Amino acid sequence: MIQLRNIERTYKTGAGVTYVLRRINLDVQEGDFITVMGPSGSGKSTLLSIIGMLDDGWAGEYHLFDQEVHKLDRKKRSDLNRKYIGFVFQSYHLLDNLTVYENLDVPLSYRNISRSQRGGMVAEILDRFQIVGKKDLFPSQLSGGQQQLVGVARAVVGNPKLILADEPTGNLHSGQAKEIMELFKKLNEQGTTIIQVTHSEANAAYGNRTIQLFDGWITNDPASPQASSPAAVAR
Amino acid sequence: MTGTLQDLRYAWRGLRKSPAFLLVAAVTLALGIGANVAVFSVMNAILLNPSGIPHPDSVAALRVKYAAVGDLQNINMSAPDFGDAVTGKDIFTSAAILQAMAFNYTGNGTTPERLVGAQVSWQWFDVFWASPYLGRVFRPEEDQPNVNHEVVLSYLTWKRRFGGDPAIVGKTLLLNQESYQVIGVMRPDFDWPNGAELWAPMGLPSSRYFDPNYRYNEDLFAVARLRPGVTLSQANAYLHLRAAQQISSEGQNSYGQRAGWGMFAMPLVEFVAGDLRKPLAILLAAVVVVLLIACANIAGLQLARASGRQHEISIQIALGAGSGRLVQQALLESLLLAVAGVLLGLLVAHFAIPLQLWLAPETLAGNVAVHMGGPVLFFGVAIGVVCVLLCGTAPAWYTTHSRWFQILQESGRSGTTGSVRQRVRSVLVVAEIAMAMLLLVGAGLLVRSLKEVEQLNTGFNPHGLMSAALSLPPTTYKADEQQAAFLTAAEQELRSIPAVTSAGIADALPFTNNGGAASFSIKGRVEGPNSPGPHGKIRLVSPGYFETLRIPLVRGRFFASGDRMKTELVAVIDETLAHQYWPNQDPVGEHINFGDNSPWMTIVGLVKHAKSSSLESDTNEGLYYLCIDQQPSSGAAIVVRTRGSHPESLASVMQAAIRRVDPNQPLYDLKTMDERVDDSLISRRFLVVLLSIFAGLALLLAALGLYGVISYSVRLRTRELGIRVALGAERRDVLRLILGQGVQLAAVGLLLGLVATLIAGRALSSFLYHVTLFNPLTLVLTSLLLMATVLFASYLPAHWATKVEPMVALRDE
Repeated sequence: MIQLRNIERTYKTGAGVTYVLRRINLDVQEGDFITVMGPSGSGKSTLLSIIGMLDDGWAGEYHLFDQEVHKLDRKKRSDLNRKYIGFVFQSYHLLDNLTVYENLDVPLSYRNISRSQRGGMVAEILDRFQIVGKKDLFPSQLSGGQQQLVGVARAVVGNPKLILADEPTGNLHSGQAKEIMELFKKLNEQGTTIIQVTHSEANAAYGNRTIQLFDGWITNDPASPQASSPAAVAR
Repeated sequence: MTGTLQDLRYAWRGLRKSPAFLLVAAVTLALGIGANVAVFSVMNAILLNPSGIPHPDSVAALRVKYAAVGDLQNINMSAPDFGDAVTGKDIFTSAAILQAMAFNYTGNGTTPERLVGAQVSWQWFDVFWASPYLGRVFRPEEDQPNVNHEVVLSYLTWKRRFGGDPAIVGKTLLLNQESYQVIGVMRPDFDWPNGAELWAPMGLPSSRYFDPNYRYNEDLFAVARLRPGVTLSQANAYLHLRAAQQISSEGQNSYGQRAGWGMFAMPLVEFVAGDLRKPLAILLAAVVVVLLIACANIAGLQLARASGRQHEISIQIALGAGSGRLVQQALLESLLLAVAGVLLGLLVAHFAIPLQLWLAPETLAGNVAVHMGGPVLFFGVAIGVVCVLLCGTAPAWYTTHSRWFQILQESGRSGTTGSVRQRVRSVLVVAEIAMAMLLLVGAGLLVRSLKEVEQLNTGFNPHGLMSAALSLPPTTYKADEQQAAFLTAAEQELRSIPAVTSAGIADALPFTNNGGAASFSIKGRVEGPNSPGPHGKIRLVSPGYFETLRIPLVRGRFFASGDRMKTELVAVIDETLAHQYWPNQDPVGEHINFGDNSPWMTIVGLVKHAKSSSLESDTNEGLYYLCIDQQPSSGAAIVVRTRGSHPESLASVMQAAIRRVDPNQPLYDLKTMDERVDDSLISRRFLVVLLSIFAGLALLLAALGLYGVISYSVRLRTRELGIRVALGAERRDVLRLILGQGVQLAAVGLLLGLVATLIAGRALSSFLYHVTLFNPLTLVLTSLLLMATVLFASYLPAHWATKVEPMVALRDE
């Protein structure tokens, strides 16, 4: 499904260049539930944003369903993003001045879907996530867990093939976190590929593969035993 | 006090740290305040404190009206009218009359020049409390027939024509071929009537003031100063009583009774301002609107700046600052801005006033001395104070109504207070757009009206015509035969100029604000008991007049060279008069006279109506023409038609032609007829140009305000925009979102502006010509202009919004 070859991401800093990701090679199959772990600053969120096509400042090759993403312009990448990907953020990032219903409708409104069809899709998601009673509430009227639930619902309302979740339970207590992870597991069982970034071992256990990042290098990938960073090898 | 000075120091320090804001705010205020001061200074010079008149509120113009005769509602007085009016010694302390008089001045054997002068009764200067700069003014014994050969010079004339000669008093001048002794020079601030170069005693015989034969011959301008404690109402009650007594003394069904004759008094400043009061009031209202928009902009900017000070102010509160002190801080910053705005605004006004007068009609620019004196400076300071309150209220209100403790707890990151500020700024911008729309619609309607008026037909062909005026001195041209001989010879000489195809002479040309009106009788017709009788504008013209102006003949004939002083008296009337008084018959062949035993005149021709003073009015005022060769006039105007395209090039040959008839006869007021017609539109154009400038300024300021609001909104919505892009929003979706916000604000402002137009636009109705207040084309065009400006102002922040990097925006969380 996804093939990353020699992906690198750098930022210009003062006198030189800082590498955030270095020679990332990664293969993701459909139906995988991958966890990306590593210390702060290792490049986990950057990797996720590149895969999610929210970041364009990278080099290398990126194939998504045989599409050569690295050769596409911004517009075509946005089209791919809308078609295949849903994003779940750590801070939920709901739109404060929209109701739950409207928040779920927003991603659909950016696709060529008629109003009536969107209504049906939103209704289906509200029912699936059992938040019909909250459809007219604003995010400020929901608890953290409920907001993240809505965030996950918003990510899946367009039936994406791939969900990218950046610390989805980072701001939740353990009970709420478990609920969300169970939900992810259920979605994965239904065929959705999930890539999550987390610090939590408990969350990582829900996945079927854990990738370690350190200083921008993949230091451990069960699917790719050759992955290593020169610094790690030296240690 | 120490706290105030400290806060003032901190406010100045804060402003210096934001030089861009300080510059924008100061310039914005300067434009608004400067425009207000410029317009007010003209209003002050005309309406409130005209120069040269101490206590102008107690100086009145004494006027006559004929209630039953359409266009005679406010005219000069006759000598007997004046005599009646001033018998009321407990009403007026002094009263005087004036008649304009031109003097041909021959000095040191040079080419004769025309001096604009006035013949006045001896109390003229007393009415204005005007004292001379040199010498003295007239004494009663000098205001008598045949001894009225003294003159008082104006200050400017003394300086320009006589080099400021300190020994001028006592010198003799040759005026109209007669010797006049200079007895005084007036002070530089005295200029009544406006533009007078010298004053001479009128010298009417005292019997004239009581001679009933001169009643209803209104040719004198009268003024009087009210006695202290006497109001204008009391003066009017007295004049009304005197008029009633006169009517009663004339017996039943007198002309005065039928015509609704009466006398009244009006403030002199109101008389002088005339048609300018309303346009000036509209302009002042327009600049006040511009200032309100400017203040709203600055209030919005200050609200935005307050966001940077949230944390600082919350700490001040935590340390014990009361709300009064915080409000003071907000107002002091506005005070500093207002001081800068007032100082710069006075500079703007200093340059704007001459520009305003350059655009103004001659009746304004030539007659008004505009100074930025005490009242104007006071006005400038007063609106500066208003600006402090307007600009400072919003941030002061915000200071006392924000939840500062919450801000402190949230370490300054509170979206709620940002959105409250944004709502207030949005309300301000909507109000600005509404006010700009009001001015735009007003200017648009006036532009359309101007276009409508410019299309109107004058009734004659003004292109290719050159004209001038002359004034025959009564001493040289005492007899009618002498005047007629001169005028006939002058017309022949003008026709002999090679470039001239035709020439004519009249006592008053169209669009010169000259010419009289008179009642007449129709032979064989008896008027009803309550009818004032036929009345029309009267013109004395030469045989060549109609052909030169190309006024079409409908029936009969024009005047001919055979129409002389001893031949049958003839008249030509226009279609308007014919429809009015001969609606179902041919007037050619009918006879008219001036009543009593005056000779009958035969109507020999019927011509098309030609407008006499204004393109848009006087369509109901009929004209009758008499032959100037039969009834000459000492004051006349000449007009020639040229086959070339530059009639103004004929000025010198026309002067030469007249000098061949009389070497001592100068021409003055040389202008093409196109210029005269164009000049009649200057008042209207003055209002249109200035209102358009103010409307443009208002639109620019409103656009800047909108730009500020939208930019700030993009900043506040950075996170939201990042989320939307992460969820799949394309560039066009973001553009639509941000532009949509601007369009929404503009739409509300536009609707409110239309409502404001409905309410306030009635003030404009009297200036609209063939255009209604809700003219669809004007409304559509101004709405489109407003929306285009809104889109332009919103585009840049919208474009920035599309550059939001979602991960950068979201990383801030």
